[in-house]
Amino acid sequence: MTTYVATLRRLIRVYPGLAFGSLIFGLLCLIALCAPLVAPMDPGFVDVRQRAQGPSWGHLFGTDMLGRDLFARVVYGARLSLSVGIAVACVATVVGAVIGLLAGYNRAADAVLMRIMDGVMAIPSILLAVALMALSTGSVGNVIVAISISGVPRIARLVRASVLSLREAVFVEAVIGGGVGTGRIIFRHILPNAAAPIIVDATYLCAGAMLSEAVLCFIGAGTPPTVPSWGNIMAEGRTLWMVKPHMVAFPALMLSIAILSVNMIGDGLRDLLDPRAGRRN
Amino acid sequence: MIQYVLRRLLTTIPVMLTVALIVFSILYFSPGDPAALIAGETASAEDVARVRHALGLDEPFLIRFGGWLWAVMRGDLGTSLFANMPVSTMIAQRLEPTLSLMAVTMVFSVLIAVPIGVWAAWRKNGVFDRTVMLIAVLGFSIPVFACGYAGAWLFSLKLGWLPVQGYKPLSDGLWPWFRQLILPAAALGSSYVALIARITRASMLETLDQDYIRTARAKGLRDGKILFVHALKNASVPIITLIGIGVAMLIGGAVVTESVFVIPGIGRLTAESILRRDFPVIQGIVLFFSFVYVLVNLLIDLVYALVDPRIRY
Amino acid sequence: MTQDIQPLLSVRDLRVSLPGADGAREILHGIDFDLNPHEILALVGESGSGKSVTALTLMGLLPAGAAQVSGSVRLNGRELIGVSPEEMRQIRGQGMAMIFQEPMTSLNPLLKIGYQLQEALCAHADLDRVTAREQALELLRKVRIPDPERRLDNYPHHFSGGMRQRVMIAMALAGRPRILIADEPTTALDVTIQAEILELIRDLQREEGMAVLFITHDMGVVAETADRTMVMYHGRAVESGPTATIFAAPQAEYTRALLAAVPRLGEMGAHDGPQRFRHILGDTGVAVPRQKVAQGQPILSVRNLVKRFDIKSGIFGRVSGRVHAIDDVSFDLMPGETLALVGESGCGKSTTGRAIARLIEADGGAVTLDGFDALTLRGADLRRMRRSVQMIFQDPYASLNPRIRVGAALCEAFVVNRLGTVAQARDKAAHLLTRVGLSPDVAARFPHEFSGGQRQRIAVARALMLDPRVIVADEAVSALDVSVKAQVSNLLMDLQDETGVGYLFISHDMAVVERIAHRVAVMYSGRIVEIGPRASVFGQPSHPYTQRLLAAVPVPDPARRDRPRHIVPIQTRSPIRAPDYSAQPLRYRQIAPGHLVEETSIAEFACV
Repeated sequence: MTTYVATLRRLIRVYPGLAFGSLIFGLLCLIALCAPLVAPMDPGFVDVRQRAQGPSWGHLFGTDMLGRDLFARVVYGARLSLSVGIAVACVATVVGAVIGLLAGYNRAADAVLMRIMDGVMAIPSILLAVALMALSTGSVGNVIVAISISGVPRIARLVRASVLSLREAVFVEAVIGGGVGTGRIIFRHILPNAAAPIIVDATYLCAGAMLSEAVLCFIGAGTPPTVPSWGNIMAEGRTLWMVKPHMVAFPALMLSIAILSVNMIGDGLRDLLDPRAGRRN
Repeated sequence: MIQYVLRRLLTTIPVMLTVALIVFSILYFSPGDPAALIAGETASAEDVARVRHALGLDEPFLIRFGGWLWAVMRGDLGTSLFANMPVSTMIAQRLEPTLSLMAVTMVFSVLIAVPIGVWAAWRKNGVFDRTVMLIAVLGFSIPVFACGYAGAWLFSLKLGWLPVQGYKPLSDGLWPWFRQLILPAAALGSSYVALIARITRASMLETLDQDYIRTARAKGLRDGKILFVHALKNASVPIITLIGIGVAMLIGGAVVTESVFVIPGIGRLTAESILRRDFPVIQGIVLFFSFVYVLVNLLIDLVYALVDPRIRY
Repeated sequence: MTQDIQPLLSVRDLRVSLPGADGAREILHGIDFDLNPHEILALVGESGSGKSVTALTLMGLLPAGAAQVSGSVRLNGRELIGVSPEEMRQIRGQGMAMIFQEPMTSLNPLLKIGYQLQEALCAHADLDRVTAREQALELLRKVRIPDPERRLDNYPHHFSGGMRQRVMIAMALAGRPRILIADEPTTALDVTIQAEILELIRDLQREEGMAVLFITHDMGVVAETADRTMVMYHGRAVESGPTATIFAAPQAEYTRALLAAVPRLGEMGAHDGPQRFRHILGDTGVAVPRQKVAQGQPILSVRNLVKRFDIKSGIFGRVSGRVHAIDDVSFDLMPGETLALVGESGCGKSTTGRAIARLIEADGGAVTLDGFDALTLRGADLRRMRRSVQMIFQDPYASLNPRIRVGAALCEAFVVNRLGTVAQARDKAAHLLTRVGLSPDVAARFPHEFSGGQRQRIAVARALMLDPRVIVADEAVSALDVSVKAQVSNLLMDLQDETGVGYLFISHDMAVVERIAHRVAVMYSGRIVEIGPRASVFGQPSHPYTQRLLAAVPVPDPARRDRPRHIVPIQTRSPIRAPDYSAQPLRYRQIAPGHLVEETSIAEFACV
């Protein structure tokens, strides 16, 4: 037990960014999970008498043009932002890893899959998501799928490259020479050694997805206004921002903090997992 | 060298075809029936069917794709459902602001970011390095909205130094044009600068560790020469790559920046078309930007060949 | 050493600390030496002895700020410790110049050779373009690079390793340095190229009147080049003196052990069969004659093996040529026998080993291994065949999965192949770890906790887990320090005695091969040019290439330094052929029992 505490202390000392980012991200997740407790007000409750109010004790972040409590909306917006970020990171990583493995191990699959990946990569990711969202209804699931699709090629390329180089690694050849089957080689020898950059990239994907989600909602291609999202809160406040800056300031601030925390985790993980750093306990 | 250029040109063809296929599918699977729209609300089912046949909309997927591709190659991107105008004309009308914004952002970002990254790598773990890298994480994380609104609030509303919104064409003069673009470009470029500074530092650090840098020092060369002739040239390939990849980020960011600063460019056209569900325009924009992106990366690949003699086969 | 000579470089109580995992660690514990004008001084030692750190300290090339240096370094009476970075920069290249181990990475790949030379010239003198170019040309001539005018405008990737090292030397000469520091300048090179570079350094030292500080781990190179020698061990100088004295009468125990571990080419003479290395560090014992090889059915039989790699070029990837990596290779290996496959880099020896182990697919020929038709098996049969042939690789740091414990790595193939239960696998692993000289407890540890030599022992144990009939040892001891090399070689020989395994011992190190091999096959440009019993091949090398190869090996005996050598630089034969090229059939002539020489290739050497 004490060794865990000591390890944790050492981690905090050596990788303060990772610790700080994790702390902030954990807090945000906690807020999102316990949204009803943190913000007891209903984010959808319209109070026409309280329209466009500045921050006050009654409304910490003020109210929007319909008189809805912005604090409640921003807190509930965290749910959408974080869940989209995490879900996209998971979906894109799993799908990308499968495609990358297939491409790395099968020449025919490689030719077809990687051409498709090149094509998807050539479309700027937000535009691809915009186009996909234009086709579908603005549900959370569709947002996740639309953003994931543009994240897949990045992971697929990374996994494919790792597979191709690790297949040639001496220790893998030694295992092949021992008569060990391909499946075991992939899952016991190649994937664990390729994991570090994939995890780091998945973290950056999570941050990118949160940004994409906000952009989609901001330009009206995301979730409908009934589902509060940092993006559509800003979009609604946009017309009045010069006189009521709080309407865009708070969601923008929260979005920045959320993305910053995830990027700090990504940077920390990269330093921690980088084999060249040579720091391992 | 010529062979390399030709080969590189040839490899972009399948990429562009795949892009075209994906973009075409987006319109193909889009909801709503263009035939019904064109035939009008009072048209009978037979009228709609006739229109559909006349437009070739009842042909199989691949034939329609072929026809569409042929049209695209002649510059015909279809007609807007909302404005009843050729999509290519709409894009052309909106091209200048977007290109201006992206060009200004790119040029200044690279000019600022690369020296910062080089200096940070040279004085690794020093005060400058630590500060800059901290700012870089911030710049990298703060989205365009936040930078844009905060900058406009501070420099335009409070200090009144710069115009708040809008765009002035280049024909109004260089300085008015540039002055209008300072804030949007800064907002759009903040993450781009951060990204390039980070990769420059990382790439320089890796290069400075190489054996040939030790050789250069052993020769008794001056630091400046080692840094800029030996190290930066070798470190430039990942930097150039990222500059190219970052163009996708700029394109995405332009959509937001143009909305924030009310710039009448392609980004705003995108947002408007989304609200109007104007699928042909969205399709045209995606295709156009993808084409630009592929071209930029093609150029980048050709720059490699200039930097690295080993690529010239 | 006489008193009246003023030493050019004088080092006193040099201590260096470098930052380690936990705080600064002292790497050099106070060393003293003098370097006199016109002298070649060798610093010799194994890895971790601090010899390279010494060189980098003298040049002021240690990472700035991180390293703590104390003591005194005087160049021509001028103290160098504590001078400003700018003063140190002026000394580098002019007072002292340095060449490095890795010629492939020590030149900037993006700049022309001519530019890099001119830059070195201009760093210390105010030269105009034309003069600089002329002087650069002169430097290239000095290091005997053919066609220097054209070469000046080439990039480093147009040069071979040996040529790049010549360019490095030319660059070092640019500032007319008083001292040349050469840090393992020939370690990464083939033995014939090494001989050429050593000769060049000796000649230039004489012509330019430089002093040379020669850093190496190779006692043979020391004996061939150095006037005086200093032996280093763990950051201390254990012994120094004239090279001849050190070799004839080593004082320190470490020097004696080091010299004992060094194999000397030719010392086996007509002795038949392999011999263990003399024991090292305290252990007594002399060469023990080993068992005779069993006669009868070969365990491995290779016939007309061919492997080609396509070279694609042009826009559509047309096959424009083929690398004939293995060209019609045939040999047999008996149970309990060691056949050494020797040759220089690129000769196809490793490819041959990998094709036999089915890590790559051969393009033709037949391999019979333990009764299997080894080249055509697929699926489960292939996996069964793989048990009969195991490989040991060169780099002990790369051959173990860093994320898997040693025990699991050993047991994996045994369990996957269902050769027994997990418990049996563990028992066997424990037994083999003991056998290779490690404690069975190490099974619970990760590879990064072991030294290179220990890892190589683990790799040997892993290979033996499957009771193979043949082990392909691809440069298995080449990356190891001298003493560890001897230990692991002895271990391999002992294991052969016990298990009757046959070794295909792939190596470029002729001296080790002489010790370990029953028979030797010399490869050149994808073909076996000479094959036969070791004593016969080494005693009367009959192919001109074999003769060249043997003559180039440095002999760790200063007394034999002036022996006649016939190392004529040759244009190496490129193994690249047109796609429609069909090889001429090889013709072997028997010159002694079992000793064959290939005749068609002799002509390639005759014309040079």
